[in-house]
Amino acid sequence: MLKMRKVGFLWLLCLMALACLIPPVNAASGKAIRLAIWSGYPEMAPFYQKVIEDYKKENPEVEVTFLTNPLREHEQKISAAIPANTAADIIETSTYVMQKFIDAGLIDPNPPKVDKFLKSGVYDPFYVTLNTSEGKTYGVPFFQGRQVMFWNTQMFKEAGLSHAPTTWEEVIDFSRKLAKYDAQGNLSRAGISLRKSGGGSGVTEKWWFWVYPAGGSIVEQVSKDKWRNGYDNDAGRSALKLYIDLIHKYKVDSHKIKADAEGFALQTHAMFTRESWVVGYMKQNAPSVQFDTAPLPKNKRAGTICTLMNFYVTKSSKNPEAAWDFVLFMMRPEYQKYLLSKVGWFPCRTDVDYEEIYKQVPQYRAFMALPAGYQLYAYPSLACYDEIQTKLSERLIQAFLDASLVDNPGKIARVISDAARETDDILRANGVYAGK
Amino acid sequence: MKSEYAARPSGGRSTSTSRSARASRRQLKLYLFCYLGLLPTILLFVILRVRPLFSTLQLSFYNWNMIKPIKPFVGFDNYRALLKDDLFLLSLRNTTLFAFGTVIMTAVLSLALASALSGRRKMSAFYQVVYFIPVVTPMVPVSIIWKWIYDPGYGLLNYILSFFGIEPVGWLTYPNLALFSIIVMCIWKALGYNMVMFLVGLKAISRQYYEAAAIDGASGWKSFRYITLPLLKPIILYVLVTSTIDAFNVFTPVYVMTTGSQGAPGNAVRTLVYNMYEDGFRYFKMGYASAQAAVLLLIVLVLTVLQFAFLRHEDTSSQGP
Repeated sequence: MLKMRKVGFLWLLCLMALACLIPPVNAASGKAIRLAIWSGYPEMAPFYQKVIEDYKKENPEVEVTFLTNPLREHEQKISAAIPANTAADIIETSTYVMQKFIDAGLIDPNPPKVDKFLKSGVYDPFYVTLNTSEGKTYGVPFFQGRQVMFWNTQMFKEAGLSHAPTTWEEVIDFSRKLAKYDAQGNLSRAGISLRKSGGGSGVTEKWWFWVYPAGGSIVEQVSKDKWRNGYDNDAGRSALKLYIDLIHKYKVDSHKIKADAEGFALQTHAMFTRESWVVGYMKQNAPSVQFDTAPLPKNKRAGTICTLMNFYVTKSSKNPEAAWDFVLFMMRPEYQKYLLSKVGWFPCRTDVDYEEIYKQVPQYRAFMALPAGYQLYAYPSLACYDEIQTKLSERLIQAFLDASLVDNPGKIARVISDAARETDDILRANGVYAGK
Repeated sequence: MKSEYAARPSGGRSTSTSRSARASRRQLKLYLFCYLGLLPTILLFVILRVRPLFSTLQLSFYNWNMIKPIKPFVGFDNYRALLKDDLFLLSLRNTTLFAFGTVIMTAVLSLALASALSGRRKMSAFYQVVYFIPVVTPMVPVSIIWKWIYDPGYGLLNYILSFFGIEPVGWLTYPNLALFSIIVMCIWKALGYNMVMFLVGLKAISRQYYEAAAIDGASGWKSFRYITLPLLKPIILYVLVTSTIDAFNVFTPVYVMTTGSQGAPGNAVRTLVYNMYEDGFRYFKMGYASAQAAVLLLIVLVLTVLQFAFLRHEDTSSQGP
């Protein structure tokens, strides 16, 4: 009896082990086409819900699901999943993140139908160029991140100022007029909020928006595959000096003041640079705050970054045709408008008339109406760029805390050249360094 | 065992042999049954734990970039590069500081708490629950809450300090304070678990020792120094070594507290696992990150061996002659 029980128990164990190994039977595997999208922007959820619902009406056999993660987690997820061929059918990400996978042959070029759509005049030619590699187009531009200056109109009015700063001189002058201090002389309201801390690459990215107008960049392309740092020059030094002066010399910004969009909503500072999503954020979190947007201030030149977020169909997709069809469905003008009005990210299609939305939310206008001579620039197609930005961020964070850099051009130059050496070393280690 | 066999009467040898053969067959079947029963668990352990461990060690000898098709064998190059890598050395230094800070403070504070609570009858259970709540709370929400507590403008800590005339401090944004701030949070989180361990140890010490000591005129600090501490030694060792291993693996609070525009600067709080994660999952240098993992494994292994050595020594010495 005992022996039978033991044998029975063993059989049970074996059956349990087998049950774990057998994949679940897909009851609906007969006809339904399943598509999955991964997004790095949780605020996109209402958009996906809407388009999926509408697409389902036209294509009842297609079931689309979406998954959103915070951007950093999303980028890590796709970095692990694309090489392992386990990614979702459709991935929403930037050109710069996807470029390394394109270079490695892990993403296929667009099929002829999609390529034709891209080149049909619905996009700015600059976007098509950004998404072209070795003569082939990759991905469909969906929305874009452009930096503008957000400024609190009420605070500006109180300080006797009628417009956002247009030059670096005005940035300093206006910040000093807008900053407020308590009885002990501590800054209680920042004139401007700069990105000064935090992990990742954000600190360098925001600093770049000041290096560029000064005539520099983080890296500069010398030849087809060769690069070198672009900030060990007057541009880099003057951009660092501007930060140091604003924080330590004029004391119009501080590490102790709530920064970024959160601070802007709480009115702890009068201006800062960010993308269009802040408009939606303010509408939701601080509807009473009066603000406007303006192009970034100019120096030797003027411009703003243009980061494209595209849809890519991966090699993991079992239904690439259906996936592309759904991507093109999302590009319809009504959904581009829906994206801007409901989510706040700026759509990429330039042939769509957004005038109606501008009338309702005038803050969006500065994102698209570029002044004459204003340039657009983009992230370089460099696999090691994230490492360059992240490591440079750590050096900048340290420098921004150093009050001894005030009126100390020699020390500023040393900080910049040490950082630039590290940037060049990373380029060298990746075999793309151009030399001095 | 040898003396037992020798004591058996020699006349019953054949009966005894067949009986022992039957017994060993029965034992063999029992072992077989046990090992077969354990097989699924062992298989899962090998697949999920042992194999990845060896794969990591293997990867550490390759220039294994996640997105590059060619992954050449580089021998010990990754290990040699680690010795010259400032960020790795910084993360090793920070992790050691973090480990010593959290382990020593947690051990001292939790022992003090356990001692205070073990003598109390009223409200002891209530306080134990209160101190244990952070242990069962997941690390991510805890880190987010503490990030708010440390907020320079709206944080609870600066608000409380303002009553004493202390000016706001950027707890996470100032590099000198950022690691210290994370240490404090981790001490708060781990306190309850170690306190429970010490409480169990304290309750196992017989009251007779204290009564005998009291008769001899020893009480208070002396009885704690000469009775409690020596008898708690195995628990203290266990707490110290397991906490050190946990501390060397710290990642979640560092990751959470460095995110966002007013997060801690990455280098100020860079720990080994955070550095490994950046190299592996941000820069895709899986081979290099694996070499760091191997070094971490070595550190943890040495600590585990130390734990075993001390505990075995304790067992042997407590058995007496």
